[in-house]
Amino acid sequence: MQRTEVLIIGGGITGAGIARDLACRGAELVLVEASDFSNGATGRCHGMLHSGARYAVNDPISATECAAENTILKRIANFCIEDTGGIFVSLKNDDLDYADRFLSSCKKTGVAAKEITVEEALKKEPMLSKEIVRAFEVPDASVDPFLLTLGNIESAREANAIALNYHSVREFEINEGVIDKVIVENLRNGSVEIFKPEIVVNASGAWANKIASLANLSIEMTLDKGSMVVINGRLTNGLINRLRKPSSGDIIVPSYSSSIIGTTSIRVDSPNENKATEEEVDFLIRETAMMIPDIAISRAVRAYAGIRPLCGSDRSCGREISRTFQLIDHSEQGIENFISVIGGKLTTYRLMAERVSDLVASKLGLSGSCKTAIDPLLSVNREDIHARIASSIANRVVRKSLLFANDVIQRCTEELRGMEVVCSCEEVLRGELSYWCNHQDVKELSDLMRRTRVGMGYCQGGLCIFGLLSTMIDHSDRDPMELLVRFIIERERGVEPVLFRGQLKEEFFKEHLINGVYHLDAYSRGEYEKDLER
Amino acid sequence: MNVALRTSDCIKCSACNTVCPVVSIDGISGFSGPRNLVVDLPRFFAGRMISSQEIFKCTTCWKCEEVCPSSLPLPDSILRLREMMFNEKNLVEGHKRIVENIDRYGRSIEPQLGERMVYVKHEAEILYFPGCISEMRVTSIFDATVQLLEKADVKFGIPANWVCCGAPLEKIGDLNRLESLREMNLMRFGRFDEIITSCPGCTTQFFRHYDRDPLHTIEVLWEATRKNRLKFKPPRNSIRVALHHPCHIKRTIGPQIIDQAYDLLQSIPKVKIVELEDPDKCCGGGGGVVAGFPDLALKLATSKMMDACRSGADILLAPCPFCVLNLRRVDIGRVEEFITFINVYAEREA
Repeated sequence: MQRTEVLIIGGGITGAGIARDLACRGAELVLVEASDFSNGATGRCHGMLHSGARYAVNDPISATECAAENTILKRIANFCIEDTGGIFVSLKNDDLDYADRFLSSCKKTGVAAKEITVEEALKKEPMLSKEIVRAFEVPDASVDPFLLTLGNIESAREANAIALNYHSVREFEINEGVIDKVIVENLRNGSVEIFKPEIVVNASGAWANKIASLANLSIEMTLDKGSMVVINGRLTNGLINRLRKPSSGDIIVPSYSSSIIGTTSIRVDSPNENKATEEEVDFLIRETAMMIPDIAISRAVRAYAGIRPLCGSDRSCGREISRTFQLIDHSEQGIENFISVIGGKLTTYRLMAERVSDLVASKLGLSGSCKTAIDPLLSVNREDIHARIASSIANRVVRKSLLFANDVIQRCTEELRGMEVVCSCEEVLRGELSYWCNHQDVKELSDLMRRTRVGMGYCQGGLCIFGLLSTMIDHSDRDPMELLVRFIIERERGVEPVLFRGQLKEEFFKEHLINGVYHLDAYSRGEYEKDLER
Repeated sequence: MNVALRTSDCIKCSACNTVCPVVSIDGISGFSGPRNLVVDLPRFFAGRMISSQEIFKCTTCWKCEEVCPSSLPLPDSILRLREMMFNEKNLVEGHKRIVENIDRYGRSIEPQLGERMVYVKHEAEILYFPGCISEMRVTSIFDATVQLLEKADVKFGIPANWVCCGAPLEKIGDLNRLESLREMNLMRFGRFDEIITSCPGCTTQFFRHYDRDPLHTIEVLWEATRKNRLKFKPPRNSIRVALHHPCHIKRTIGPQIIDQAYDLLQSIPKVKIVELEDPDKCCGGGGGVVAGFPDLALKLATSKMMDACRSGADILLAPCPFCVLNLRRVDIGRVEEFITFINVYAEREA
């Protein structure tokens, strides 16, 4: 049994943010995540750092929060943010009054929006439709949610926090209105660990109700599915937003070597209903192609969906629920040391974490103050890295390797074949994989993906899978077939809704490769999957 | 960076790399191959210079596009990359010479024999565009073409003061000079819409950049034999010949010309055709590689000549002056230009 001051449940961006904040204030804490960090809505979001403009008209609270956090995150987490800027565009038949209301609302909420001429907009974004009639510039940015989460985790660990992934909460032992013990299963080996926390923070996002039910509580919340499609190639320099009342298919975010288009909003009953459908893909391509016509002829690589845990349950449409967050102190419901946090967005994660940490700190009587708005998330010493590896590769590797850039580069330069490109879509080196294979957090091949982007490119793990698997089994005693099947199944889930044109051809080719090399056709994969479930 | 050409449908099968003649010689470490250069590299172009050496190694043989299951415009994209990277100061020695010659003489090579006879017959119906190499280097092509066209009663004329068609400039990415050459030539072509060329390089160039539909000499001769204007006498002793299929005929202006070349050969008595193992394998003569990377071009040519020797042919026929020039750098076997060879046995139908 392990005593700790705080136990945080959920390793998404919210949990990771709280862990960092509290750890920096000197709290003793453990974070447990049932899967890998950022595997829920965090890793399935749009990767958009809002300027607040999107919410200015209808959701001023969120807009103000986003505007302030936008500036802070660009300062403290620039390693995972591409400050591309963004443009809001009105098309011919859009409500033009909305554009005026938009500008005044931005002013009121502190969002730095500026109208630019159509010519200026077309010069900034040559791929834009010639049909646009008005354009506004805003400080939106593209953010890598995986890196942001892992950055917070590593920062928390630096401040002596313990963060465990693949640790699933099984049970609360409640004694006289206080959670006394939390029973956690270590999914790596099936062993049970018991924590005795003073406070439990439920930051499990879409699973918040499931965790609350362990304490016989329920939280008023709505689960809302948002789907996105990854389009091959960066079609725009910055983010493109449709200037209208927030609805579906409004946003295009350039991210690494792709453009992500989204989103939809569909009410769902369970956090596991996170699969994008073909209808959603068709819809998103049609809608966003009105702004960037080339999307219609580009290759859709993958579609994915995240489940937004929205506050409240009284309204039927997910778009009308405020994107702000809610902090629930369950002492009113009879559990003294239990706090839940729901709602919010990636952009405002730090603010949420600060509020939660304030509450926790006051309960624990901690004196330290919040420093997350000032201290940079990670400070990486880049000196001498550039001397050892070609600068363009170094930039990418340093950006991805958080605090471990030096070790990663060492693997790349010193290991046999360390500089070999394993994933050519995202240019991932064998040395990078080899470093992460040895990292305590990595269990599955998809964990490597979240850390290095291997397999995220347009072939969706078609060619890198061989190098990926061979590197992994050099450093792990897991059954290679199991690793392989799990990874293929995970990738296939996202490819299924976009099986047309280029990606269909790609899948046929991959099928031959995987079958040829591993004798693993679709049928035997299905059988293997059934075995794994048993 | 956007290469502006549709390459996003790549499925990474690497068929292009497998058939690439330069990869087969230099290995993937010496030349990354079409896929890596055109599809993968532009994704990471920002802040990265392609080693200028590498992109200029492509012979533009078009084999990659032929085998690509998605029919991606790979050679065009390589040319586009060269265009984007063109920098007059960073040219390799051979390419610098091409640019200098064009600025000085209007030709891609230095004239060695003085201006050849230029004439336009009054009754000319069609133009013959000789091209730099046929005029100054493999001069037999010029002579043979003129003689053959006369035997076949083609009323042709040669434009005065023509300049290089610009094919070598396209290959090194200098589109500004190419444009000015194009304008000069078009002015000189005047009222003539139809052009005959004896060089696949020129033919391709007129087709791709001049918006013309030029005829290769082989097409004209084939048509003439059809109409019984030409006949062929047999050589004294029987000859075994093999036909090389130049890339720019086979894969850019039209494979039918290769069939027509076979037809012509078959109509010469006592000429026996033997097949090469891989007749459309690139000889290394195109894409500016002879000028830029002479060693690489020589290796490719050697491989081709070895094939020719193995086939048992007495003569390897190549219907392209660039191929002939490059293949003749190899010390084994005998290479003859196709039109020159035909001319020896062709006679006017009485």
